[in-house]
Amino acid sequence: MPKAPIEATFSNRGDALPAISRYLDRVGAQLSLPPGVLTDLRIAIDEVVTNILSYAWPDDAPHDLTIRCRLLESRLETTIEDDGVAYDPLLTAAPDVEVPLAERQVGGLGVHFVRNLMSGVAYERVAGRNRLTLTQDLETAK
Amino acid sequence: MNLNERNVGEVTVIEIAGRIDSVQSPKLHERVAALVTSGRSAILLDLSKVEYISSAGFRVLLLLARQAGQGKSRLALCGLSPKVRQLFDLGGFLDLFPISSTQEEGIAAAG
Repeated sequence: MPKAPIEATFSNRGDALPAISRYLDRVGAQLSLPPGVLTDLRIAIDEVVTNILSYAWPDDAPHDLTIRCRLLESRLETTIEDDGVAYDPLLTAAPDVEVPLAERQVGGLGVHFVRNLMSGVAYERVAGRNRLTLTQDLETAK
Repeated sequence: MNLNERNVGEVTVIEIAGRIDSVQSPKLHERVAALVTSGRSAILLDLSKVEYISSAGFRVLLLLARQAGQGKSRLALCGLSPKVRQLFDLGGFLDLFPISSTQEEGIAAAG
């Protein structure tokens, strides 16, 4: 039976990332997620939220972002919403991972990880908010 | 993330435990950059107890490798778990560092 979604809201003031890490501890325990699924989700959330905190709010005012995780049959669906400037991370070009050390850039690497670690990633702009939906298939998870 | 440092001959071994994420990466950067600046000839990062590395962590590894390359230090890695190896592979970082399976092999190669 699907369990109720687990939702939490975090401020861009103070330590959002450690608070989100504790939230993910709770999600993993309540939804009995396999360790590999939770680790991939931690990486993806770290990348997405770091981007939001860095770029979403140029006005420097207090803002919130909301994360919701829910288990649907054989997949985990996680949405991250913020009211920042419209930004579709899926439009970020993949980094060139072939170039030598001296010329290597890490821009785009975070989004590259998110795309590759998640089964699906979708972006929507809904009522002035960015909504990124991450899905992970639990059956294929190691 | 915890850093446990010891010297084995010429090699400084740093065992890293936990997550090298956006919150913890600056701590790793600061510690290893200080070693490079101090002129340590060989630095081996043991990643066997690392749960994962985010892009912030890879950025730090990249900066440290460049800094080491400009100085007289060699920076090498060992003990990549399957998850960490997957991330190195996805990011195209496997070819950028000398990587050994075990700490013993890493010390032998770096010393």
